[in-house]
Amino acid sequence: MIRRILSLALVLAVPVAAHAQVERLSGRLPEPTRAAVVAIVDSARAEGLPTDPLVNRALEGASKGAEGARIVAVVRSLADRLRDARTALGASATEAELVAGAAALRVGATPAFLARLRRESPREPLVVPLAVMADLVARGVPADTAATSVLALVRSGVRDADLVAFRENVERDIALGAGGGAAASVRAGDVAAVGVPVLNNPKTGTTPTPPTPRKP
Amino acid sequence: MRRRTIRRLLIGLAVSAGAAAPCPAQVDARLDVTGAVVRYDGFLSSGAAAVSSSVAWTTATASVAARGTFLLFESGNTSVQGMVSAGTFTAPAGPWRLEVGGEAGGSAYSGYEAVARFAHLLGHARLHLMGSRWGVFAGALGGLVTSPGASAGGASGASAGAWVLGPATAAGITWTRVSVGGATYDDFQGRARWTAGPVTLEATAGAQGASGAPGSGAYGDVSTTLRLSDRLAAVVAAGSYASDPVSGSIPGRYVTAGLRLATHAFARRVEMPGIALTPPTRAAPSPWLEGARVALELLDAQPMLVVYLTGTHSVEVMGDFTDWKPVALVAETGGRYRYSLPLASGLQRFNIRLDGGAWGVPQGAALGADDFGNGVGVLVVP
Repeated sequence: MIRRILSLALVLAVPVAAHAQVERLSGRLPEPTRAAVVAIVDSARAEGLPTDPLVNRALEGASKGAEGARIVAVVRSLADRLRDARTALGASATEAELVAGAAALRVGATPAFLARLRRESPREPLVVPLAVMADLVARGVPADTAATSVLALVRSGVRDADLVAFRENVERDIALGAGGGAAASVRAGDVAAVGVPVLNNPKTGTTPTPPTPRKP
Repeated sequence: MRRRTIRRLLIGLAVSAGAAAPCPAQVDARLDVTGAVVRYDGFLSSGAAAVSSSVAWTTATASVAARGTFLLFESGNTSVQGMVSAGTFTAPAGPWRLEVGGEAGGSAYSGYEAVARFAHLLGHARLHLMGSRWGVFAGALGGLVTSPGASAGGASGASAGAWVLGPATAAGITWTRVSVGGATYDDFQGRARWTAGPVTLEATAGAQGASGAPGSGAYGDVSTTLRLSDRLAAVVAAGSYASDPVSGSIPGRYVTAGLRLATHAFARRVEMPGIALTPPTRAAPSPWLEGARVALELLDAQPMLVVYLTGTHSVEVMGDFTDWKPVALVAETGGRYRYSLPLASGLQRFNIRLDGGAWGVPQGAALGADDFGNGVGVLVVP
């Protein structure tokens, strides 16, 4: 009985949420653009993909004066990346992980990288590692270097706070004139090598092996 | 090595103007097979094998060239580059000639489960003042460049230079200024070439300065070409180059040795040094708001967005949590400005503006790829 009530509530709640999302777009987009975005949102909802990020992106484009065709293309592309992120990260991925995964794909990460990150950390949230990866690339770190650095740190069992500190150090190095790739590689080594007390792998209780410089 | 590859592509655009004698159209193709040891900053030294091919069609007043390079590193990672360039000169008006041209190129590095792609499309116009053995020029360039994580952005700039030819030597200097977004790059380069019998020595030295972005540094290389037959030559080169995000290269040093095969006999005349057209570096327009820093602070156990500034400002935020409508932050004491509502957990994209200025990203936020403008801030709300 309770399950039926919950199911009914869910059935009722989905249209209400969908209506609310469509309402958010009203008056913000030209009608052809709005209709195209709503179609993408409806399609994503039917697939079980998060739809708030799609609506948000459309509103962002509207506020920044983007043309309708551009907004539609960006929203459609985001839906595609959310779908790819879910395939790579698994059906249990949270909405935040999917959004972060889509952002990482946007800057050059591959679905294989996302899948490997999930394999390395099957139970830990991946929002911060993925967001850090995307941030590094946006700051000029080559995508492969950013991916390799983040993967090495996650593999060594660092906490989110360590990843954030890593990102800030890379940001500082770049501001001082260092090349993005070199800064990320060196700082990734620093975190693993210097931060041993906080880097003992919580899963194995062992000290991680510092990532070594690699060949191009 | 990549930087050198690109610069070599540009040789020839101005050569046809410098060579006084008109000649019939000619197609020249070359194939280079090279072994190299490279050491990029932040990486271990690595062996690499490279295959480059080029085709050039040249007349007295125009030139079209295409070139592709495939690099295979020890690790199995690969790099592919390609470029097409074209240029033409007007008929001489006294010692003056006008040159217009352009180039389109791209590169992709594949490795470690990621791919980095770069592309550019640039055009240029230059006015040349020429003698039979010398020349000076000045001009402008503009176009589009893209790099990973950034939408296509405009590039513009200017260049000037001079060159001189001797019986067995050629030398030239160029200055190129390129502005990409909020960053400006100045590149000073000198090139010299000396030919004696079957041996040609070439040297390049340059200095690059950047404002608004990292990328300053000096570079240089030397190469020796030994003509083994009319269509076969051995080439040995070594040197360094600065960061060049247009082609995806990062600072590094290299030593190469290889063979060059040509469809036509190698020219025995001394050509004018090439002119660098490619912007030396590429950076996204700076999205950062100077002096502003964002933080997440707990208020009654709720995460609140707070911006710290010096001085008094009107501060607005728009983001996922405001439906991307501008909302004024509440000014508090100590240069603290607070968004009045707690943020929901997850990734939140946003921009800030001060005193009605341009929307940007405060320090402390992660930088997200922006599909619509000049950068967007990202906060991970726990």
